[in-house]
Amino acid sequence: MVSIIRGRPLIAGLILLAAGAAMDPAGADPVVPLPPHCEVPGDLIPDASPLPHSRQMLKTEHRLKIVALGSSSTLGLGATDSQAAWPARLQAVLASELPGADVRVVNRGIARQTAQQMLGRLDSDVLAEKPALVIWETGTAEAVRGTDVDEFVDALMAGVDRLDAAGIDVILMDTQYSRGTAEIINFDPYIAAIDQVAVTRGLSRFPRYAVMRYWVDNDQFHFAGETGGVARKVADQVYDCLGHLLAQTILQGVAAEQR
Amino acid sequence: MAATDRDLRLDFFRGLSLLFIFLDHIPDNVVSYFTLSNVAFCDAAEVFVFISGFTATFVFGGLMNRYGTTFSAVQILKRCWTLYVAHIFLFVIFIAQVSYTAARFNNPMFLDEMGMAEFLQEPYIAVLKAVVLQFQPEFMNILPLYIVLLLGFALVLPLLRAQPVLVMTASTVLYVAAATLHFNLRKFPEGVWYFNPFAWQFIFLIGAAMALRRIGIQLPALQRRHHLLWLSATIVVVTVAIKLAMTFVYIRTGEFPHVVLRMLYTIGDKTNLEPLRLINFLALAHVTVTVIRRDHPMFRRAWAEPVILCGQNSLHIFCLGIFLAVLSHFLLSEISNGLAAQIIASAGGILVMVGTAYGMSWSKHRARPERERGAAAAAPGSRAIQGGE
Repeated sequence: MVSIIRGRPLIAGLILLAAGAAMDPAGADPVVPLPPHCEVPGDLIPDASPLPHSRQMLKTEHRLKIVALGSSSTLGLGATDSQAAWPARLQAVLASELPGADVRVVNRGIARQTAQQMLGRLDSDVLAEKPALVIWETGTAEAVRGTDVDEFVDALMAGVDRLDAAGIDVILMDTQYSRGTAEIINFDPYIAAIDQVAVTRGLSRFPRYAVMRYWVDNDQFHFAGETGGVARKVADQVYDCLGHLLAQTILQGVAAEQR
Repeated sequence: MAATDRDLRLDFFRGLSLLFIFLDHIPDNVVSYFTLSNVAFCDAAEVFVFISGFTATFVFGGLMNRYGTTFSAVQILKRCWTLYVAHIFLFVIFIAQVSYTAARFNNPMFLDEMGMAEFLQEPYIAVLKAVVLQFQPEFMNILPLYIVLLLGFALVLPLLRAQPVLVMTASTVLYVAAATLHFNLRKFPEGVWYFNPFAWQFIFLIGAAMALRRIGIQLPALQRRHHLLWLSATIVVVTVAIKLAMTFVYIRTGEFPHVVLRMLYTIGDKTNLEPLRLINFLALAHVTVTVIRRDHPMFRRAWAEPVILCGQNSLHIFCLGIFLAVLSHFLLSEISNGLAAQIIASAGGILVMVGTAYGMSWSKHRARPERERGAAAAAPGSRAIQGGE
């Protein structure tokens, strides 16, 4: 971290801007200030892989364009409005953490889509936007339908490779957690598949399932029995927390040295 | 206890695989770290299907010797019917669970997920698909495999008796084709069977062929080969070492080593019983049956009896295990998912399974008149007609 700053003054300015006051004085990873109900243990979210294209865009163009590709939990169903969905929250948090840069997060969530279906709209919905980074939220539709895990992995690999070829960073995000849904749907093989793709392709992954599970198990959030306005408020808060944690992963990835 | 003519290894290891299947079906269960899948690339499913094939020849082949082809075929079909009824029973349990959850849980954040409960709006489709074995949510995938394998076995058994080498060659070709070309049966609402019957028939028929000697048919290819035993032992030692190392690395870093993940992705797929799993299982089975002979003293130990009894009542204990796994999962996520709760749920489930196995064996034994019991011990094979497995 320190050596990057010394060695490359151009980036240094931006990263200092990026991490700003949030940066740990010891030179550790950037830390986004978290609302207390969003807290998770430090080792729950794996260290971010480098995001070279995002870093490049920030460095040369002083902007960061991100596409959020996903299903209804990306779209923001259950929240007050689209401004409460996690992509909008992520944009707000990043914008305040990167005061010198123009941050845009484009929401490309469509309910109930499989990775294969998202692959079909990769050109029009993602590549056409020319982002530096894609956060790909997937696996839910597959777990619900019981899609063959191999088919899911193949679709993910194909998508990741196309994004890589187009010079776009990728962060993979797995499914949501609630006790009610975990009781009737087996998410594990699909989360394992996302991990496997992330590991083999050297990508960052955001373990949303584990994060939300931690919140539920520690009584930070409840999803069962909440209706109407209360349920909406919970959804807003969860999406806001996800926006904060994702921002942290992204800032880490931007600051991380290329291996 | 069982009559002494029985190969208790079959009952013991089938019983053990049923207990493992129960433990492995409770998500995030610490006790499941002690099941077969943690020291081998195969798991209890291979053991269960292999022993099912072996028992199928042993029981129905024995009946065929005594009463002819038609009689044994009818017995196989009767057995298929019992399995089918069990499948429908598990389907009803599944519907009940989903209905209960869907009725209580109605958070719009989880709209995509609740697509799962969508069939409640159109239940006739799910019922129809379950009836034709195409609806296979978790827990409901191994019985459909067992049913189609046994159905096919009604036709294959006479061929296997007459032309074992020919049948096994055909089975190998079908396996290799299925494992490489990935053709499989479709399921509802999409995708393919979790256990590809065209691939898994291989392990079933290997088991079935191994039992031919028990019904008086010698297989030329199956003489003892000692250098093969060394190969098997080496495979077992290496795979156990790799698995333990993987677990160790996982505990240390929270990730599996990349090279192993890549290997699993290429040759370790469960759906098509890919070679890593098959070879690992065959090596393990080879070593096990060599080291543990059928009259091994461990089978007379007190701790072995409950496991053997579970194996002797396999269908009921299997269904009960699935039911208990669903129930444990539900209770663990509703009440507590702590370490103690996981151990209590696992131990409680095993106690219920074992208790049920004792009850079933006791009632079978009770209901049979004294002289018939004597006759059953004298005549191998007749147990099956009286409802034994």
